[in-house]
Amino acid sequence: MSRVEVINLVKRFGAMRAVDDVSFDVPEGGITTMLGPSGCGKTTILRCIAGLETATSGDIVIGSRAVFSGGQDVVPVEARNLGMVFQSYAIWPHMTIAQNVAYGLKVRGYPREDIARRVRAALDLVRLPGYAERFPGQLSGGQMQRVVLARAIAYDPELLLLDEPLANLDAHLREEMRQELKRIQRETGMTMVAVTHDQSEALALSDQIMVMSSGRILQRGRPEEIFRHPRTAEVARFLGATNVLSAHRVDGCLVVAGVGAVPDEAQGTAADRAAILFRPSDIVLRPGDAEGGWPGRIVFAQFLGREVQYLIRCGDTELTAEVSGRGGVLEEGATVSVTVAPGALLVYPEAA
Amino acid sequence: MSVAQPALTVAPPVRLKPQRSVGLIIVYALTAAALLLLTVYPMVWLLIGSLSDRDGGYSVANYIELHDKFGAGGVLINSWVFAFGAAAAATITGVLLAVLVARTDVPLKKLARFSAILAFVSPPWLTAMAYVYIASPNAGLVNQLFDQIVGIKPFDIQSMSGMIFVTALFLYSFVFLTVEAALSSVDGSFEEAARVAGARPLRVIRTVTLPLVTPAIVSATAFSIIIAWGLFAVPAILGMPARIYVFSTQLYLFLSSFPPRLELAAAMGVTFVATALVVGMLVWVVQRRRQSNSFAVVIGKGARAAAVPLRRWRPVAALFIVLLSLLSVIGPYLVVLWMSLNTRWFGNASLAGLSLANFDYVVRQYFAFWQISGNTLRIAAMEVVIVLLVATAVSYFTRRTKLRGRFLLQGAAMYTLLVPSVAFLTAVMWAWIGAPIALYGGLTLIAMTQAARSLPIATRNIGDGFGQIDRSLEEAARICGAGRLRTLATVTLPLLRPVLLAAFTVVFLSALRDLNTPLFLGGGSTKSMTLSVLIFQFWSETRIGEAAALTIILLSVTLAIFLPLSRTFSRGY
Repeated sequence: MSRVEVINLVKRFGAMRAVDDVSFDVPEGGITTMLGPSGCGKTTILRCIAGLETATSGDIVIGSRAVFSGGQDVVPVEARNLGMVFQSYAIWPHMTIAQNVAYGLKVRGYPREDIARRVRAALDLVRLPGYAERFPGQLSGGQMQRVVLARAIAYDPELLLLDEPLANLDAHLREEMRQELKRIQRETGMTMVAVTHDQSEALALSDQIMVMSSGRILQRGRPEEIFRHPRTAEVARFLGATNVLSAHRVDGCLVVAGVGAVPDEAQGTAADRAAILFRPSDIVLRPGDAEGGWPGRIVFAQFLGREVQYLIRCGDTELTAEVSGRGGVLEEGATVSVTVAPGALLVYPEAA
Repeated sequence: MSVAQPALTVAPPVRLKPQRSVGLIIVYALTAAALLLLTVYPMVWLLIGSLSDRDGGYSVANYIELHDKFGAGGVLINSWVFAFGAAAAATITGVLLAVLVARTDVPLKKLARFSAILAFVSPPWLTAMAYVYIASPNAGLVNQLFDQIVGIKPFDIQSMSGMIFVTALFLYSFVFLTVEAALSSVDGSFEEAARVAGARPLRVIRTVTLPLVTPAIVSATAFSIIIAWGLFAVPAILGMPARIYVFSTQLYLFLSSFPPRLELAAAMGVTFVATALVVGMLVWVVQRRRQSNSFAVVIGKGARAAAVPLRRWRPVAALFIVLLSLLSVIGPYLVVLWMSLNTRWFGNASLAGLSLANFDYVVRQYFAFWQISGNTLRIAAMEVVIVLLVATAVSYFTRRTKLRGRFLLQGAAMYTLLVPSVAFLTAVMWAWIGAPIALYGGLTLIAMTQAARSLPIATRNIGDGFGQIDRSLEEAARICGAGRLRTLATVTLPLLRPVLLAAFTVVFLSALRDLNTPLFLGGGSTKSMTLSVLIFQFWSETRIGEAAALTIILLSVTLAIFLPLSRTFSRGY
């Protein structure tokens, strides 16, 4: 059963197609994330679902109600019964925390004692009890985030939308709130749709990920599946496989010019030209020119603490490698032999 | 979280009903109708009026008569000299003061700001009256003083240079407030970069600071010119006795002659509106060019530029501020107070002769004081209501909807900025004098006309206020289930309150001090007279003490309203 259905959605801004014929569905319960670089149309889709933006054509169904159809918002924003977490928080500065959280309940005409009880329950759920009478100006970024969440879920909406929910937090808070979001989802069973440009956030948070680019969905699936088996080179690159080699087929084997042959296990395509991608952390480096590896030279080394990042010149290409820092740092200019962990090479046919 | 879960899984009594936007369209139509009536309708009539001859036909005869009467000389030259002189003096003074206050370590910044705001809200005729007392060619206080000591009377305030001087003392505040606001929004890092590159402070101001705020300076100067064209009180009090006529006073002559030459007034009005439009276009061109050079970066992260130390020039700069405050506000206020406490005029005044007789006369003996005060307040109240409603509606439509024609609405609300006050009044006369609805000569028409004059500044300020409210604050309310109206009432308007309060103050004060509108449209009867008109009438009858006493009363009311709000005001402006 699906909570949201988006069918052939198109949103044009002038001649530009911000959303280009996108269809997907969001299953009941769980977190679905749209992942992509800025300008890929993910926020536009989210705002179309919310009703804050009117799409050009297509259909959007929430629950069993068609909310957008035939180029028109059939159901206006306020009647869609949604919750939303804004990137800028959008906590009303002229109301107390309790008034902020109570807003949606008041609009819905809940009796007063019900409102008080639900506000308390929502603030408990986001672990902010005792903050009810404060004004937003007195809160920290993490606390603001919790207030927005409480406000959005207090009236038990059909669907919770999250627009870059963690982007405004600093690194350690981000990790904490990521866990909190997941906990709240599990405890309430609420269906959530989030937008993010951060792949690790998407991987950690989601039950389903949609990788997007230029207004289209490139791949949709469970986080692990997308991470291990990106369907295209673009998806792979977006999920951290930033090392790219282009290879030719020579005598049935893929060969990278100036580097060497690609191991047998990765010959996943029959095309004549292929792009080979892998993540910096999948590289294994050995000093000197050991047998079986690609010969390379370290151009640049950067000690990052837990790991060391190297820029390595292999033939005509430059590779980035991230290696555990425990083994010491190799000198810049040193010769190395590069191998890639078994199963880590992602091979895609490349258009000639 | 076992506590939370049961509460959140209870089925909610959802009472969300989709809201149609019929209400929105009705408000839109009402706003458009109001603007048509307030600003567009009169201007159409001005054009018709200027083209109608006495036999009921249409021709350009009025323009020809105007040309024959004045040619290129007299009134036309005087108006340009007056407006440009006053605007130039105001710009130099205002920009200098703005740079000193915003960018240097000059002392007395508070005094400078406060006097500028007071000069901005106090009536121009007050300054003019005070300077007649101080420096009229024969009986002026300072002239008599010089006469006794060295035997000459050096000053003549009732001259072109006197008019320019007094007008500049009021207009500088407008330039200062505009440019200072622009300067404080310029990111300090631009100037720091120039300093680091090796430029000395003065060079930085000349080559970086001032160019960055050029658009603000240009528009302040241009609007000063247009304000000066529309100014009546100063040329009437200082120029008319010396037979120096400018656009506004000549128009007044046309209208108060017998029979009134309404059609000549209209032709003259159209001429000046056209010239003002040219000035407005120039501003627009300058600002557009600036914008295309992406001067948008001016909105910075708010890092203020470090104050440039003035060192040995510091006392000189401080003296400049003291002198300006003295000349523009403190001096005139004290002189008018002195005038109001004297029953005898000019040189014969002495401390022993001080009394409250003038106050007693205007408040207790003058038969229509309470009626006229009531008129003043009623007009101001009506005007404020009209302006706030229309300006908020227009800002809402331009900033928060995508309705077709919303920028036309904004144009209709803003364009009167380019129309000199007295030209607009002529237009209103033409529009309503023979109209089937008998508004002419009544308080409502005066309020409507003043409202049309105040709409531009209110619309701009409230529009900027909307711009400062993050869209997502309203979107969050919509998501929570609130309709447009509820969102407006519970989120937008409460957040807009400081801006609305500031707009209220500006509009109310301008209504209290406005002389032109009630004088031109009131018809002379006490039924539609306001305090400012009564003051002008006393002054024309050389009842100086009474005029001064009424001015002091009006000023007290103004300050009583303004001072508690001045903090909000200086921020909102």
